[in-house]
Amino acid sequence: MDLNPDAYDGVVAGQGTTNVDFNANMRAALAQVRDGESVGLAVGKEDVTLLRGMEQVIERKVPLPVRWLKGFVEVQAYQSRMAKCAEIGKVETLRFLRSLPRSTTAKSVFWAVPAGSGLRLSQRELPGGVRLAGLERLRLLEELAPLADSLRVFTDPRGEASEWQLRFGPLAFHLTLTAEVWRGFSGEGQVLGELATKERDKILAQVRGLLKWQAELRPEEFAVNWDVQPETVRLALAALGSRGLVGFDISRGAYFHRELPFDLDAVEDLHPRLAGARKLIEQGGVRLLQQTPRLTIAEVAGSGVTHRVRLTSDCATCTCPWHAKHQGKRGPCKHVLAAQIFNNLDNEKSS
Amino acid sequence: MRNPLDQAKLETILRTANPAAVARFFRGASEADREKLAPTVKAWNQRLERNWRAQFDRKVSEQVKSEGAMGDWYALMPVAYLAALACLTLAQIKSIHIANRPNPVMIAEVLRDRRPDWLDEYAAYMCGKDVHRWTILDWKLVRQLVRDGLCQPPTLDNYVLGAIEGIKPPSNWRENLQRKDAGLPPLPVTSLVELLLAERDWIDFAFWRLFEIEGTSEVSLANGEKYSKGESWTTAIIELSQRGVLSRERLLDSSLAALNRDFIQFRAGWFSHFHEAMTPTIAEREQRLPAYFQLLGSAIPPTVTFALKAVQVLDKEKPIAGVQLARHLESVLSARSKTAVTGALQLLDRAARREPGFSKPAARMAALALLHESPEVQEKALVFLEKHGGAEDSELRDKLAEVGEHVTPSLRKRLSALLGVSAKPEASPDQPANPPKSDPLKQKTRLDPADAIPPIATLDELILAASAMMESPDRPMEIERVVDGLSRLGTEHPADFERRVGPLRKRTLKRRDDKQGSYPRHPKLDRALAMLLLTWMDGKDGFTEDAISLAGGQNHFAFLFRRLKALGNSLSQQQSLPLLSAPTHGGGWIDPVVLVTRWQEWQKAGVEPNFHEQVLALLRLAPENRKTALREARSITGEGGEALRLALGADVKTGKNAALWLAAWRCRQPQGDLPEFEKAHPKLGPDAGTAASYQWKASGKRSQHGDLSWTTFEIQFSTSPECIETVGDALLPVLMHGKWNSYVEGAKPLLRWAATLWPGQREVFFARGIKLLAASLNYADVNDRDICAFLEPLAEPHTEMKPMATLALALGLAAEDAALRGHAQEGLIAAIGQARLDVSALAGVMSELLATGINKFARWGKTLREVARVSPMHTRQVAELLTQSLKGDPTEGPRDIHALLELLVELQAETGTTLNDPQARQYVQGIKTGGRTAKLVKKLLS
Repeated sequence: MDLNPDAYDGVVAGQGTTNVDFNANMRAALAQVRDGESVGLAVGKEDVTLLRGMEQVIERKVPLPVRWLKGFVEVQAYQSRMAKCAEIGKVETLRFLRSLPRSTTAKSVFWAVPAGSGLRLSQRELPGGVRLAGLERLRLLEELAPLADSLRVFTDPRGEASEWQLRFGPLAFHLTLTAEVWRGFSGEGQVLGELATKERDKILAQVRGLLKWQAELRPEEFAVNWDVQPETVRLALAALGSRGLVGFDISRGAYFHRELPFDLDAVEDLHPRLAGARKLIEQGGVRLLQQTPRLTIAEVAGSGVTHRVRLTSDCATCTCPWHAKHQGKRGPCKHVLAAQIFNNLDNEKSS
Repeated sequence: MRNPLDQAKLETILRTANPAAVARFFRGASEADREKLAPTVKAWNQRLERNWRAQFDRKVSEQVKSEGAMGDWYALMPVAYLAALACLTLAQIKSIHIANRPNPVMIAEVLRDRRPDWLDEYAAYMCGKDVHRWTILDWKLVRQLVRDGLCQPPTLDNYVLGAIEGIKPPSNWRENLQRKDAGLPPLPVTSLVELLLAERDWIDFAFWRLFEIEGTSEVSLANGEKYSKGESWTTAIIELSQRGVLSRERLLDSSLAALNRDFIQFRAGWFSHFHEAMTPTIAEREQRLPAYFQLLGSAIPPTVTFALKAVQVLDKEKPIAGVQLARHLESVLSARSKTAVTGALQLLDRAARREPGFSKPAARMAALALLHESPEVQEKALVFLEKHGGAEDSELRDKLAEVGEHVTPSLRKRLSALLGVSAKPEASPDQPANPPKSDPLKQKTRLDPADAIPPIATLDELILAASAMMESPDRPMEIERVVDGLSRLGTEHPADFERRVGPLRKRTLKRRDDKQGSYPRHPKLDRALAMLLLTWMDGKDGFTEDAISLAGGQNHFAFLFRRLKALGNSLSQQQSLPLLSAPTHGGGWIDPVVLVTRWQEWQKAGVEPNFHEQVLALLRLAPENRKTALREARSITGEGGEALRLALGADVKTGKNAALWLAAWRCRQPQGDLPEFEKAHPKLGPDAGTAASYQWKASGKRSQHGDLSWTTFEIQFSTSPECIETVGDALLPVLMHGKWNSYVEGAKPLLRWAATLWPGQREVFFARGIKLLAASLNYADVNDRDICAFLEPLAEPHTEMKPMATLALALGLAAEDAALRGHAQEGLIAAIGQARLDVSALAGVMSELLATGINKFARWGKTLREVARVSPMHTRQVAELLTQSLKGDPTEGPRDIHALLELLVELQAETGTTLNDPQARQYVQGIKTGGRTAKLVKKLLS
């Protein structure tokens, strides 16, 4: 939920990240809030407090499970690649959300496609369509729809995630969905490539040094100051995102500074594939067969077999079952990562 | 002085099923003496647990065998657990799994004697586990301990929830059965009221928290009410209230407070029903009006309806001020529930009639109800606005302008009149309902470059594509790419070939050997593909089953598997040539010019193409480019060349090989009889010389079981001529009618592939799905995601909407499963958009299906509404479709015919047409019913 300054009366005393669970008492209190009521929300370093008349409900900060941390990081990686594909008004929003079938199997796949000034569900992949499985997740928005002004829909180019944004004047409610109901964001592997890039990049260090809780971080502005390409700065921001140091605001189309409670030294350990890749390199499991500016072919040790990895500027392939099944949509496999890291190290040695 | 405890005596007691003996044994013993026996008791409990686990854990079973299995472990468990309670630490006790627990009274006795300092913790532990319907003994145990003063009542939720099932005495079903056999009445049952009164301290301490704790999917007041036998908690609580044990005021307030707690709908429902069961008086309701108002904003629709009813009841007796209603009804007017919205309108109407000054604010609020998707609700809102609103109210005009174009077409004129503006003209009725039949030649070509299938070019690409295919073989054109790639590149074995295919081999071996145990007749596509790949990688035959075994019968799947085997043979013989039947374009089509080129390559290599390949290649020939291809095909020799030329349009005498010539003829003439072929090869089955024709009859079958009765939809379906007993294994058009195990779970990839075998004629493909689609009307199940494969081709631009396609479409549009309906919907949308739909034919089918009286066909109302929204042309076509389907005897029609009539009313309003069709008018006139349907009939006939 995003609240712009116009959405509340109050004072922002500082910036930070506070993670809480909303338990039964808080949920019960929130369920009783009605239109026209005056409600206060205080977010502090250690807790979140709901103030409603004489009633006060406090939720204390809790440790954030690792899976959630990873999920947040993956979400911003997807968001940074998403583009808006639909925006519909109040009535069409209500009509679309109320047309969602009440029961489907979790494996049924639909596409939300443009239909006149609104959206409809289709069983076919049509131009402008947004892939959806597990429609019951989207029905979460149905209760909010009567209050919304509009619905914006974003999707990433490969249709692996979508974001559904209900707008209520200065407030926006974001629902980000993976392509399948059984896929949580934590296992999506979208940041593995960035994590594999070691912090030797001067630009990355410079960008990190300038983070001051900015609501918008625009690569072009940094690039002008340092005489580098905006794409270089964007990659640095993506790398910082993989470490939980920036998030992506899809409405503004920009990164923002936030700090997830990651132990940065341990962040790589949270990604088994990356750890596996580094182990493969340490064990001498990577051999380069061909290395040109456009194509690198490597052999990477597997379990009793040797995998063949091909790296080009825009794609990577591997002969392992993970890649065969997901075709890179859930991030690179450990063999591709190992080949990428090894290749980069080799290039650095040569240069 | 007491003797120390005798271990040998304990071991003897542990081997009995005598709980009292355990209690006696440990009575009065010191902690030090008890501790000495702890290892023995712990080991014994662990051994009993192993015997329990051995039932389902193979490893443990081996261990139990080696140490000696115990046949009576279940009977010995209660004694063992009592011994554990008597001498183990709490941590040790917690580690014991109790499959057969002792009586709570005995447990209490043992613990009373020992009085360990951890009893509160033990009680909390027993309440801390997940509560299930079978954990009632945990609650009983804790209650025993609390009643005996051995521990404090736990504050955990399960101490409260556990009572719902736990308070009931153990079932005496065995004894009652014996008594019944003996002609005796069942044992008397203690009432829930009496049971609760016996737990008075629990009532005082914990009962009220039942209104604060939601419960779980297994244990809650709502579950208890719905699923448990015996007396209901609602009745018992009300009686306790009447006896003065429970405060009525507090019950009324607590039930309302519970509804505010964000419980899920099912569990919240108990509290609203309970509240009403208390029959609150007007005075009690008046006192609680703020709470009812609060609940009008609930996210749970039945809670809103409940609160609304309460307000309505009160408003009738003690009118509520309009201003007060206005503050709370706004959210209700945007609700999804029709009852809620119309209820809110009624309240506002009464208030506006009482207070003329409230009319304008009420009208502005009522405008929200126009957002509802039901035309019935919108009409009620409009009636309200006509009564209480006016064009002079600029605020109202602004609100109506916002929603105006979304108002259902039949009401737009009235809305415009209300606003004092002239209505926008609806679509001209002069536009033809049926778009002009499009020229087939101007339709999208089957050989559109955008649909071309790029062939695999390198070994690496082949390995990657084959690996992806093995993970999910659900895209037929990808399978064809790989198979074609093998055919052309399969003999490329560079020095590091073994290493490069190593990962694929590992995966493929596993897949081939995975026999999917319980469905031996299920077609096994992934195993067949694995066998082909192993043949390629190993250079020798990797097929471990024959085609019929893989396919579950002599059918078109067996044809496909034979084709794979034949390719395997070619690879074994080091032949590397383009696959004759590989599609060049999506949908399974082959460019004739390309086919001729391929055939020439085979001829040049001196190799006769595999027979199954020839047959399939012919059936896949696209109609385009045939003349050009024919010119080039003159050089192809042999019977295959002759057949090819026939297929391409030459005048050639039918030859000896029935399968080959049938394929050639059916390529040239997919529909109708083939007299010349029939003369040369008579009586080979449906779609050989005699075209298949399909007969079907739909009906509703009534069933009854006890008080329940229901009607299921059935379809009797047959094909003629009948399939002959032994069909040639390459006679593909006939094979497609062959026997197969129609249990389709997991068969979607193969079904999709089957749709590409004869793309020029899909009637037989659709025919195979009719019975499955018919069953899908009655229930949704896991097979539906595979049955979808029968509907997918309906959306393809070159699928002809012949009788079976049309029937499949009509059935799909009424399926129970939303995804199945969605596929049918897409098929209809595409067919209309591409001018493939024969409205009369589909209407005819719909008319026959309506005459079964099966109510499921009212689902067409929803699916056709979505189709109609796509474009003005779709709107007109759907309107015409509905009109033409209203034929025959209306008394045989479904009960919910109003769903179709309502849609027709709206579509006619939108298209500016009326019901002119005489047969349709006659049908509608014959619908004799009241209520909403009668109103719709009146509108249609006016």
